[in-house]
Amino acid sequence: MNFIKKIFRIREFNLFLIVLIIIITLTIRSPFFATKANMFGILSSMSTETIIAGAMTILFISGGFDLSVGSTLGLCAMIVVVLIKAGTPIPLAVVLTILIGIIIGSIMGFVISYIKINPFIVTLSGFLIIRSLHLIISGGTSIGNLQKPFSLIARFKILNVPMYIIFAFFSILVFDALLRNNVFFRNNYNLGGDENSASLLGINVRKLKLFNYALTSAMASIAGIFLASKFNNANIEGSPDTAFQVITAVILGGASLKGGRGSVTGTLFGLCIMALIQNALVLFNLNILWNKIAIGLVLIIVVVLDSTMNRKRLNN
Amino acid sequence: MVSGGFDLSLGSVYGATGMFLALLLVLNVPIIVAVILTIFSGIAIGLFNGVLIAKVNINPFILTLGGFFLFRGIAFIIGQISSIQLVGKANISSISGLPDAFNRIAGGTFFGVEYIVFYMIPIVIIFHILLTNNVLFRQNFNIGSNEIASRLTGIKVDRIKILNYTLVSTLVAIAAILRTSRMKAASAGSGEDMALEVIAAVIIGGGTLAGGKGSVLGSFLGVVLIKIIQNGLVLLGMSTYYEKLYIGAFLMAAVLIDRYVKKTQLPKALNS
Repeated sequence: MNFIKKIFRIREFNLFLIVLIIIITLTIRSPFFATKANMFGILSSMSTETIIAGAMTILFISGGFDLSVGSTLGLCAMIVVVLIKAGTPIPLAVVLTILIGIIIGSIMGFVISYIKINPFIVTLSGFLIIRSLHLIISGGTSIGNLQKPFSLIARFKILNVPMYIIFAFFSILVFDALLRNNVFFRNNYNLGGDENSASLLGINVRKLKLFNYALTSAMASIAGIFLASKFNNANIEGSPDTAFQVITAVILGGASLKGGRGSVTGTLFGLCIMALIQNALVLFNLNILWNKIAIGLVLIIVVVLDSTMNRKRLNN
Repeated sequence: MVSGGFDLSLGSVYGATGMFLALLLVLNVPIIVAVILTIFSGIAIGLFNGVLIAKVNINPFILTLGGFFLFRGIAFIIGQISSIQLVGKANISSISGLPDAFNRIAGGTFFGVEYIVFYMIPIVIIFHILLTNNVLFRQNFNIGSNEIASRLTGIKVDRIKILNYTLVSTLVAIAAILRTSRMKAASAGSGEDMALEVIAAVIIGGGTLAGGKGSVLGSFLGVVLIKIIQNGLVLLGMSTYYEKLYIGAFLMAAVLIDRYVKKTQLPKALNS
């Protein structure tokens, strides 16, 4: 009995149950759910967020926060396309774009960790400035129709699975393993739990913070490259909601804004729940507009439950 | 924000209450009833936020992030329902054809100045006076600086927090009413960047996310600055693409200068 109680206290297990219940319900209720095409559709729709979410989870655990990933993603998608149109060899263009992502993250990380300015404000400014740069570079139009090899980056298939799906799930597994086993990454739990004691333990707090922001922006730029390659196009709208969606998944997965808590596995389940809700709306022919309402409700319900359960535990 | 609170959902609430109002109006609900119902919907949303944040102790960022999604969704659903009912086809995200009497609430000019300005100025002045002179409102500074100490000195922290969130959503609803009247239509996508712009204005005006600082006049000047940037770009014939670049740069500069002043001036002041 005690064992069962303990298991239900593990957040990832509860999330897994929710995902399982949704999957079983959808399989029974809709004949189209368990088809190969639909499964690939779900995986494909969540791949962009998945690429960013692993790094974002690490950032949240360390007590950080990044609003700008959607802008960075849009900007980097545009940069890689512009570079290739200008005749840059594809590998060079990709490397340069990732470097730009790292530089963006490092600048924000520097201001946050060395000048000690609230990450919300810094990444909000970043969000605005990067969005502007995106529009300026684009010149006002979407750019697409590149030569064949570029679209292969995302669409190259191994065992019939496109590269961007493989990369998304490979990267999240790597982050999960690093956060479990690697000392450098595990330091983030100390950093998020209590910054002062982390620095007394000998952790280089400032460097670690800067690294986290650089990593998150780098992953956002990789997601941008994959997105541009997948659609063979970089648009001017960018993806304004991406940051909020990734943050929602991370919070559903059990991370807190105060830091010190969370896991990549939890985040992955959070992403699954959001992708499944979206898929269910499509399968039952409901308007996709309900998606935002559903995500908002799920988020509010989860945090209310979380907060009341925590309080009960504290009272006990 | 002076009390240490935060609302990300206001742009979505702006869209949703505007659509709600327009739906009531095209369904031939009397104007006064529709306006009052819209204000009540704003009060209800604010109470919901405030109670969950103050009593259930939920982080305002996360809760209002939920509201950000929820109310934007509701705005578009209202648009869809009404367009099916009225026009017979789906996917229209704005409602127009409102009664003339309603459009006159904020549409029109007085000595060449738009009516809506005459609503704005008293609201700014009233809130500035309240925050500088009224005991109840000044307690927000205590709550923002140190919540536990405020509780111990007998300030009714929960009640003031709930009041704050209710006020914000109510004012958002009023803004939505005025805008709908001025534009003679409501659109479900309106206010997309509003929350971030308002927060940027408050921070440029001297507010902080940690709470305990800020002034209504400062925030108002922050809004003025943002609007001057937007207008200036148009007047100079520059691309509006630069708009966010300048707002972001100003925001960053504001906090960096603030940090610099604190670092250099505060020790001097303490030494003298």
